[in-house]
Amino acid sequence: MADDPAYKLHIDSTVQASQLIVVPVIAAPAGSRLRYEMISGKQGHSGKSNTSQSGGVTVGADGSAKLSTLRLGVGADDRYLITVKVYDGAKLVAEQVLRHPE
Amino acid sequence: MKRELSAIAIALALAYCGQAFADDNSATVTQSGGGNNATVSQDPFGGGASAAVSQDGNSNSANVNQTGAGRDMTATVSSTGNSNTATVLQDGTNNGSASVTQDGNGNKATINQKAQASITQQGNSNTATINQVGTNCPGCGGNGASATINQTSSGFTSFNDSATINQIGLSFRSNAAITQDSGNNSSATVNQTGADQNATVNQQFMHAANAQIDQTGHSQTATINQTLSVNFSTASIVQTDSNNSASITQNFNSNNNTASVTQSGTLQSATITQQNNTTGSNEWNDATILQSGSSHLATINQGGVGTPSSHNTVLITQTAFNNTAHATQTGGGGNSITITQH
Repeated sequence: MADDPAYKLHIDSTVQASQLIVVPVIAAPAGSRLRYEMISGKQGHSGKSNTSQSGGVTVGADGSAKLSTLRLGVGADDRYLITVKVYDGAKLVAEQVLRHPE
Repeated sequence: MKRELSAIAIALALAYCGQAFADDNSATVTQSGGGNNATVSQDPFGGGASAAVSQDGNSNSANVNQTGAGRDMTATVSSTGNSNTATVLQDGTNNGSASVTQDGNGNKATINQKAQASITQQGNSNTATINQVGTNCPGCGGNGASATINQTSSGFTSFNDSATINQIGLSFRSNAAITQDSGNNSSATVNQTGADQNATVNQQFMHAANAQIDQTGHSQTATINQTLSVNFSTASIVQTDSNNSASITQNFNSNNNTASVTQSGTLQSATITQQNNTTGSNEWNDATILQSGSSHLATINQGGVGTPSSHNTVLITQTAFNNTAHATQTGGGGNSITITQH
């Protein structure tokens, strides 16, 4: 499990009009070049979906960087699991999980 | 003088037809210069027929009409020059073949028949149309009709080429293929109704190109490849009924493109693959899959820079139930995926 205090990962998530909007943000030393992975799986009455988003970001002068955006239509009975990992080089420096139900 | 020569050729062609019931007829017309018209009409009444028209010059027109219940009808038209028109009609046979080759600018070729047709054009502002209507019946064996259009530039980038293939009127097992190379503002369109049909559009080295495939019926396959520096272009596939598959690929230095697949019915499959540059700016790709009905599969794979100005966008919307969506993106922090299933 990543626990480096220099890197703080926050998953900004909201639900608007039955749509879950997920925007992970990493706080890290300015100028850091990081790699991220965001993987989601969702299952519900209407179907199932899997997504994978990955790539590199450079942390801005304000010490933060937004990772990709994920929007999922969700219903009351839907189940989902979203995992975000951030790497500095080969080292896993931050990880967060968002799931429903808890 | 050239017009008189044309008239003689016509008369000879018609004379052959009139005297040779159920025999093989042939007509050959060769013209040079501008403003010529050539018309070949053949009705072999069960026999074979072949027509060949060759024109060298500008503003010429060639018409080949092969009608009646003939067999093994063949029509070949070739022209060199600008503003030429070629029209081939093969009516009443399922075994005809027609071929038009045009080299020049502002040319127009049209083929109406039910078997094998091909149009090859080289130059600018050319228009090619193949109409194959009602080529098979339900339960009939054998392969369906095939239509091929190739449009290329003549050494420099071409402009405003247009290619259309219509395989409609319950045509079964038909195959349509359009290839366009090195063009600006070119368009390729395939319309198919029936079943077990296949449509493919290949475009490369294009700017502001448009590719569109519309299919109605079951077990159809549609493929659009916009590869090798296809930029600011669009690809669209629309399919209705069931068990159809759609595929769009935009890659190899192909940027600023949009791809969309719209499907309704059941058991449809759609795949979009986009890869833009991994360096540079303002180079994006957008992909959309809209599926209504049940038991669909949607897959989108994108790669590229992925910054806010060079974003990749995935939009998948599926209605009804038992649908599956997969989306994969690689790149920076500007990418987004939106999946709605309801």
